[in-house]
Amino acid sequence: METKLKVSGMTCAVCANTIERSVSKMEGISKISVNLLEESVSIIFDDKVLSIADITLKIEKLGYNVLGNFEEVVDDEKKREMDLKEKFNRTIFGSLFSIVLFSLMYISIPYKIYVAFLISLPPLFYVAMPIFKSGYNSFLNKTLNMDVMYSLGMGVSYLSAILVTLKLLPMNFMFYDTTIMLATLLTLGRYLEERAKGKTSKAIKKLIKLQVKTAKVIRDEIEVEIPIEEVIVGDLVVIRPGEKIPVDGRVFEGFSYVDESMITGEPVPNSKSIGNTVISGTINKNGVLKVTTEKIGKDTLLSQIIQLVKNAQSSKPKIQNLADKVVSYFIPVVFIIAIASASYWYFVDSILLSVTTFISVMVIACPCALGLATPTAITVGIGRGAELGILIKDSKVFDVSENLKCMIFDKTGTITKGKPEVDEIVSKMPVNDLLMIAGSMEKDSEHPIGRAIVKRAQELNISFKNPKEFEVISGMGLKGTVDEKTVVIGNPSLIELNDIKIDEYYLKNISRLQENAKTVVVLAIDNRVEGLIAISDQIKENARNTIDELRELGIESYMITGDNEKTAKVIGKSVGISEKNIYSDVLPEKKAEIVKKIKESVEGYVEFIGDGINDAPALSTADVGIAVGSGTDIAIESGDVVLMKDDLKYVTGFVKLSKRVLKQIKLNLFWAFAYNSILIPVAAGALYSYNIKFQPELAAIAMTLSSLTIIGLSLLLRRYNPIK
Amino acid sequence: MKELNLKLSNMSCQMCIKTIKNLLSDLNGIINVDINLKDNTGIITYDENILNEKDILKNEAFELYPAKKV
Repeated sequence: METKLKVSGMTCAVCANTIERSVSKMEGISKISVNLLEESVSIIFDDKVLSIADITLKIEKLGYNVLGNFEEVVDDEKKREMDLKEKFNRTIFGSLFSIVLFSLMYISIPYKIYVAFLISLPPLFYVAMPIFKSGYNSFLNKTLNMDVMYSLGMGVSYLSAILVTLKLLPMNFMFYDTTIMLATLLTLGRYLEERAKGKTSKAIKKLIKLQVKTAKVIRDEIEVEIPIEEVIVGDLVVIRPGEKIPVDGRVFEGFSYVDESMITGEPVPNSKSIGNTVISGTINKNGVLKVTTEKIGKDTLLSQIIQLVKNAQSSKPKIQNLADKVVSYFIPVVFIIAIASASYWYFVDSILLSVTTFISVMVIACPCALGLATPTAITVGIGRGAELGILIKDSKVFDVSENLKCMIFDKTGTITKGKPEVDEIVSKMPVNDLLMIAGSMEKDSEHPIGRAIVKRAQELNISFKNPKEFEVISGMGLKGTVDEKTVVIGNPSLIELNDIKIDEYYLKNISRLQENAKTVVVLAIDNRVEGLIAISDQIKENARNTIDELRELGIESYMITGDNEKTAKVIGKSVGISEKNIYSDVLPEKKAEIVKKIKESVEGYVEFIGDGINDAPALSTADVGIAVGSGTDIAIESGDVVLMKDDLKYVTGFVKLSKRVLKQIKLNLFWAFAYNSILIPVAAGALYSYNIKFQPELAAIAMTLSSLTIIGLSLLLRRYNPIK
Repeated sequence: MKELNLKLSNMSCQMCIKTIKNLLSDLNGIINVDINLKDNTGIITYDENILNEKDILKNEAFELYPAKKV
């Protein structure tokens, strides 16, 4: 016997191996293979010796959970496709029979009423039954949903047709064609609805396609190609030019350019050499890379992104609750209108009009468009976002978009690039000599400012010397000896602390540089100031535009930074953030507190945008947290929205997209209501005195059209481009 | 009460530890299982009146994750 089980709890390839080895030792097992990626265990066993229950027990003994038969538990996609196909077949089948039944009404053949009855039977079972069934089920569950109403409408029309066949009612009550047409149109509507939903998950499919199936791994010094689920953390993976990188890891050997555009959106391939990290799903361009595996399976960035998009599409925003609530009130109201108008026409006119009115009202009132309004807009919106590199994790962002008042920016890494660079050197001695001494002092520094100096020196191919009597003065700078000369390098206070005089020329330059938001490092050799190194963190290209655009959208920008007041003000000024909205000298752990304070002071929603590493508390304190650019795990986990591209124009892009989605939802709800409210009175016979009467089949068509309108309108979102 | 110090191999994640603990829980007389994933070491505290080292090392856990006494 063969079975495939869904097993959860496996976190690594060794776990998979453990299950394989342990279960294979059981008597009666002839083959077992574990697929870590899809969390499945396939087993071929002798059902005379042991049962699935025995195997389940064994696997659970090992500490994993058996969730059941794989096909039953998962394979949503397959199921969905089958379901879709089935609905399609039903639609076709129903249409053919509808045409036959409809034409039958206009031709005369002997025993017409009996023939029509017989012809109506196959589509009644194949097309209408599923609707009756779900209507009956929801009725049993005491929920008045639309299936109940369809069932009533269809049931009433079919019953009257049978009464005709039994010669209890006149010929014009023969509603066989109406019943089948209704069922067909309802099935068609659902088919289209399902199909539209499927289309929205295109973005996910695209991401899934990036996943690699096999990897070339070096085991026992031999390169072997193995399925990706057998790769373990620590494996050395070989990637040749043109191949996709199968794992998240670090380059161990080799040099190459890697195209990471699918993950980061960065169009230019990044150079990768020893020690650099690589992301699975990205493409190795020209060199051979050997990569040490750091993350596999579900832990890879790519898998996390896929999971995230999936989760977002199933999360419900508040506005959805509104639609749901309306539907639940709507049904009884419609039912009352149907009964009231049917009884009215019964007494005023005839039983025929009474029945048709009842059927018309029941069918036209279909709120399936109402139910579709929110989910279609959201799925399409999230899908569109994912395409643009805007990952929306929680659909609450759409609720927030309407009354969004503040965007709070973290400075370093968000408004600025977060990579300090040497900006200017003021000195009377040759720059190379100055950088040699400064670089020698700083060469082992972990401080970003020190690293900026070393980087600049390396760019100029300056070789360093080893400093002696080296001393670090925390928070201020360094002291030591290079080439027998005493060197002090650090901020101006360190120089003063060492009783070295800074002359007029340098003093002037220091204040000039500081006023331009630059950090000044002073270099003194043998107790004389010999030069200044100005270091600055570049403001991102689109910062100014973004803040201006946000203002146009009615959103005020704030900035929080750990930097000193002077620098913060200069940067705030250059990007257009007003002084009162700048919070400087803020310790990382206090960021959340300030976000809270701002949140309390404004009427409306507050979004925080940061690079996600020390910003996690602030990201979750704000109504919506936007993690930008870095594409690291922390960023992905902490924000409600992740901007994959390190470009601020995506901030306005996101704001516009979320506003557009909310607008779409509202528009959809409007259309769903419009169709219903306009047509219900007509269906109830309000215009009957003008000789305008609503045929049940026309009601069904109108209902389908309302659903189609909404799907169509939502799909328009796919072309929406919020990024200039 | 006695302690058995082990050097384990093949472990790679938290689940592996759970697996070992689960399998050892079958044995009577085990008092505590302490496994360190980082150093690949384990300390098993057991009641020497009920079982001995051999019994412990015979457990399936150590077939899956080979262990050596240290």
